Amino acid sequence: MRILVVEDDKRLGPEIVAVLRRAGYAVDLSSSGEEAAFLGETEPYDAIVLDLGLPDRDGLTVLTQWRAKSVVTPVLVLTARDRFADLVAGFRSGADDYLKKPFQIDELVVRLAALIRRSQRSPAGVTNFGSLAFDTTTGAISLDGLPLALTSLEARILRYLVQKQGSLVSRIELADHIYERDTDRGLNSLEVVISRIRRKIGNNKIVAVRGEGYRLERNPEK
Amino acid sequence: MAAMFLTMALTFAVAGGLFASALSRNAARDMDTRLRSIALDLLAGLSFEPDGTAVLNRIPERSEFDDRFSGWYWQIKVVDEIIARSRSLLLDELPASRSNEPLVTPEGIALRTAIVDREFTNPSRLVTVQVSAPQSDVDEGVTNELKLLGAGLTILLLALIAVTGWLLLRGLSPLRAIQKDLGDMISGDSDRLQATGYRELDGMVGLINSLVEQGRQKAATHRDAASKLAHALKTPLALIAARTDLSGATPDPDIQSSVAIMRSHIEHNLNRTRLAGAHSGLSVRISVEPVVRDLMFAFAHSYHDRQIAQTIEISAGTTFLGDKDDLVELLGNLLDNAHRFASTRVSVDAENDSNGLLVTIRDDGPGLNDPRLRPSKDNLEKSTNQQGLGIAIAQEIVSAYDGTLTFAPNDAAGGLAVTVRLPGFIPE
Repeated sequence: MRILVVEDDKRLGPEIVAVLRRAGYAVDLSSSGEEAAFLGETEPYDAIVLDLGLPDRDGLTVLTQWRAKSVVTPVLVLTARDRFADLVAGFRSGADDYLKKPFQIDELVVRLAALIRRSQRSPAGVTNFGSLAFDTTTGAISLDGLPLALTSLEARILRYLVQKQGSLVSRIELADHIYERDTDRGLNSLEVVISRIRRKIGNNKIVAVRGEGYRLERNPEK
Repeated sequence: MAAMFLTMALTFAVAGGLFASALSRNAARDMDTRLRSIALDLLAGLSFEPDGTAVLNRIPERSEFDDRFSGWYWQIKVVDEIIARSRSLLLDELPASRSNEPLVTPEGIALRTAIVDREFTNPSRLVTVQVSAPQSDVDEGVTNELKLLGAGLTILLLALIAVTGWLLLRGLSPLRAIQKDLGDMISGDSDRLQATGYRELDGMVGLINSLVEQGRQKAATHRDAASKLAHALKTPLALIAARTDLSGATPDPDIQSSVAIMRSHIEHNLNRTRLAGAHSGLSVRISVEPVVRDLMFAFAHSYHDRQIAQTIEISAGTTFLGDKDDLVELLGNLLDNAHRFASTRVSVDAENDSNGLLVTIRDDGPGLNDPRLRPSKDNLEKSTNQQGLGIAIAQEIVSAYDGTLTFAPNDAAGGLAVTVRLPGFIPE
C-alpha cells in the first residue's frame, strides 16, 4: 500500500512518514500544495494524508481540485483547524476522514488502515486468503495462524496480493503500490523479493503469469 | 409633539384674549365718538330767537330715539331746565354723568353717554346737550366681532398645527428610517445603515457604519490572532505526541497527559476568545437547518464505521439570532458527543417558539451515566477528557447567550436527550 503524506512541518512530516513506514506502507512525503496536487493526480496512491495549512496553497483547494479531476483516492485530512465549521468544509470538499492536531499517532495509523479498507470494500478485521491471513487493522500477516517474519517490502507485496484476493496483478501495478517515489523500480529486483516471499510462504502460492504479472493461489497444488 | 401643539393653542388663546380686550375698548370709544357727534349736531341746529325762545332746526333721524326704553336718548338743558328731549325719553331726564363708565337707568339699562356744553351769548346762557346709547349695543357689536375673530384664529391654529405636523413628520422620516435600519441590524436582517438621502444625516450614518465595521474587524482580528496562536501550537504538540508514542515500548504517561492538558487549554481558551469576539459585533439571523445538515453530513463521514442512523426534523424557517460560528460549535460539540456514544441512532429536532430557538439532540447511548457529562465546567481547564470538554464548551456558548442546556433520559430509546434553549428575541 502506498501513501502520500502532505505536511509542510519539517519535523512532523518525517515523523509521520517514519510511523507509516513502520506500519508497512510505502510513503511519499510532499511539503507543498502544488507538488501534492500533481502527485495526487498522477500517482496511484492507496490513500493520502493531507495537512490543510500548506504554505503555497490551501489544503482544501488541493482536495477540491483532486475531486474535480475525478481523483477518488481516499483522503484523511490532518489539521490544526479544530472548528466544526472546518470539519464540515473538509468533508464537503471531499475528505474521507478528519484528524485534529495534536493526535495520537496510533489513531492516525488505525484510521488510515480503516480508510483504505473502506475504499477497497474489505471487511473490518482479518482478511483470509487460503492459509494466509491479513489483519486489516494492525497490518500483520500470518500463515496457518503463525506470524510471518517479513521485511517491509515483502510485507507490502504480500498484503497487496492478499487484498487482491487472487486477481491478476501486473508488475507495473504492483510496483506502483509498493515502491516509494524515489525508489529504483527495477522489475528484476521485484522478482528477487517475490522469490524471497515464496521461500517464506511456499513456492507455489504466488504464481507468475508470463508477460502479465502475479497472482496469489488460494489452494495451490502441493 | 403634543406639548408643542398645546403651547401653540395656549399662545393663540392668550392672543385672542388680548385682541378681545382691544376690540372692546375700541368699540366703546367708537360709540362715545358717535354720541358726541350727535350731540354736536344737536348743538349746531340750536338757535335762540331775540325773545329768548329756543329753536331746534334739526333732530337726529335715528328711529331708536323714538322708541321708549331703547336706551337711545338725547336731551338739551339750558342751565337746569330741559328745553328739548328725544321721544324715547318721554318726560324722563337723563341722569347727569360725566364719567367714562356706563351709567345705569332706574330700569336697569346700562347707558354710554356723551355730554357737550356750549355757552350761548346775548343773553349769556349755558346749554348742555347729553346723548346716550345702550351699552348692550356696544357689547353686541364686540361679541359679533369676537365670534368672527375666534373662528379665524381657530382656523389659523388648525392650519398651523397641520402644516407643522406635516413638516415634522417629513423632517423626522430619515430618523425613523435609521431607527428601522438599526432594528434590522440588531435582528440580523441587515449589516449596515442605509443612506437617507439627506446630506446632513448621511454623514452621521457613515460614521455609525464605520464604527460598527471597526468593531467587527477588531473582533475578527482577535479571533484570527487567537486561531493562529492555537494552530501554531498544535503542530509542535502533534510532534511531541508522535515522538512520545514512538519513544519506547511504553509511552510516557506524564508527557501524554501533559499534551492532552495543553490541548484542552488551547481549545478552551480559543473557544472563549471566539465567544468574546462574537459579542463585539451585531447578531445575524442564521437559518438552523443548513447548519444541522452540514454537521450531520460531517459526522456521518467521521463515524462512518459505526453506521449511525440519523434523523433530522426541523420546522421550516427555524432561525438562530447570533453568531454562526457559535451555533456551529455548540451543535457540533453536542452532535459529536451524541455520535460518539450512540449505539445505533442520533436525532435532531429544532424549532422556534416564543422564547427563541429550541433544539433537542437524542441518542440511544448510555444516557445519564454518560461519561461525556463529566467533568463539570469548573474543572474544565484541568480536563483531558475530550468528551467532557465538548459539553463544557457547549455550556459556555449557551451561557454566553443566556440560554439553557439540559440533560434528560431519552424516553423512547434510553440514551440521552440534550435540550438547548437559546433566546432569539430582538432587544427593545
